[in-house]
Amino acid sequence: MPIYEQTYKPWEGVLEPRPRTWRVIARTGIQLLMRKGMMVFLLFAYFPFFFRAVQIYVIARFGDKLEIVQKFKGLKIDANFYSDFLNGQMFFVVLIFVFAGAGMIANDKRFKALSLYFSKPVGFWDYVAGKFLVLGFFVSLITLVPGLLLFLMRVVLAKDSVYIQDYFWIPFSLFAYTVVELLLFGSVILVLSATSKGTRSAAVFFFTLIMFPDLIRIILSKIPAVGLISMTANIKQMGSVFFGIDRPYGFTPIWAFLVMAAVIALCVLLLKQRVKPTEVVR
Amino acid sequence: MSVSLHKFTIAYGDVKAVKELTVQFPEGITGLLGVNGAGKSSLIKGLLGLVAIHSGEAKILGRNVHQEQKAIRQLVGYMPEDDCLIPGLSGIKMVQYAGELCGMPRQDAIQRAHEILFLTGLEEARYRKVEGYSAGMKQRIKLAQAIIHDPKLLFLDEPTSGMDPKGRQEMLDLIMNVTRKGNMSVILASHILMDVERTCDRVIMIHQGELLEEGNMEEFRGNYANAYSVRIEGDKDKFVKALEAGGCEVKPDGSHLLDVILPKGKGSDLVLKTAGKTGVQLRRLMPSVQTLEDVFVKRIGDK
Repeated sequence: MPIYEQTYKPWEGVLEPRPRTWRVIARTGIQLLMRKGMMVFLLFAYFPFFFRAVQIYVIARFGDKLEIVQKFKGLKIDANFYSDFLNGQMFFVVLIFVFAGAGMIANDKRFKALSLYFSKPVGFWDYVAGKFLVLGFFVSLITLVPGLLLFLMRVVLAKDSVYIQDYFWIPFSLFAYTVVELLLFGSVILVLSATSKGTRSAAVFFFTLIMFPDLIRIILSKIPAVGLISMTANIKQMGSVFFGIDRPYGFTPIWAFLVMAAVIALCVLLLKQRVKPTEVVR
Repeated sequence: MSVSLHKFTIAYGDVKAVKELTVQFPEGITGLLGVNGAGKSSLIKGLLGLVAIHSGEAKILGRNVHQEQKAIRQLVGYMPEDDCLIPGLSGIKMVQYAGELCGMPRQDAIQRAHEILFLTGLEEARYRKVEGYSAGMKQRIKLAQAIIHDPKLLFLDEPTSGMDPKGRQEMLDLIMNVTRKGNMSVILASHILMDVERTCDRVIMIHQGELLEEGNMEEFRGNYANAYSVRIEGDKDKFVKALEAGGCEVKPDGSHLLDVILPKGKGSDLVLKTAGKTGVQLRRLMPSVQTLEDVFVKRIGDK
């Protein structure tokens, strides 16, 4: 029987010269959230997809001959269809940011994990990119992926190539919408997570930042520019540009773009200040 | 040299935690000794880029800390003082994660994480979440995550803090085992002198961010080896004055006891002669063993 000595043995492998640490952070973050029951949540977020998939099937299969289709006169599988789908998914997207994003940096700070991360070859951008990718993965799973599946389904069920010729750009629009949503909501929730004292307060702040400006926008709906204070309105306005549809709000999309860019830039600055391995108390 | 510093300064606003420190850490185990707030942790954090460097130069394993921060962090291991954990992960996953962050291939990191947790005595608890670990287990997992990638240099910041005597002993044994077998240099920051005395080949003492003293453990003891514990009967003051006139350093220790440090090159016969001259009876004259603690307390006192 061999005798094993409990002693240190040097590792004989070779370290990757420039490890892609953001990828490791993202993969581990995704696995952690999957174990926390994210799968069940994703199933709920797919209900609208199933509903719309049935719509596509019924319309593609029976055209407007069916009585139920005639009832929804004007329902077309056009750019508005995809835009509406993404706008509807925004509710689940917000919940994902609350559920997955609020604790993302707050927990690392609570357990003083930042000094562990930054004592490895992990830089600020690696860390933030890793966290963003985790959010991006889950957001894409309920926006981009089902959106693309709906598009593919419509293309497959089409009798000719007219549909794909008319709407070949839809996948790009779905992608752009998802990226804008991720960058804006993602940077805000990560800043809140990095600045708040805990997960709960970050989640409450995020909800407030989503709901309160939206409420003001509704109350002061006669003043179109007020819509610029609402994150959801800005995203939907930009989405209308991506999908080439009528603008839902009175302000120009350029302003929406500038407001979002300013918010994201501010969030990055705040993240730079708050994501530090050591808290210096003066 | 594993680390060399030149006028290395760390400042938090106006407060300088490390002041123009110029010192070299050779290979082997070096103890970084100082009281709480001396600047030990700040120095390590500065070298790893965890706090901003105010001024000065530093090289770790021949690499410049200003220019090659990430490359340095890949080659070194760091065991922080605080209870730093990655929440939500099991012990095995946390150590594997640390390895992958350092650039280890995934399969190697998994396999090595098991080996390292076995070595650190956490094999039974490896599938438990790290948040539920005891203080001693947290210290062990911190060491495990620091050594998984087989670093060339290991920074240990108060590695035995919060551990019971048995756990401390085991941790120090582990550190020595890792260093010996892994051909690894270690910088061990501690204020627990016994730990440093037990494990280190060399000591660097800092106080209020400045270098106090440095040398090999043997040199340290050697510098103070000419010390005697003396017990007398008679006129103590007269005897003390006579010894001091002869160049001795005398510290009364109770009513009849004295700690006497003889000047270099002099033997214990100086004490005998002085006793004879002053008419004092010598009841005891024995060499006193100087511990690191004696040296440390003396140097801090001098400061």
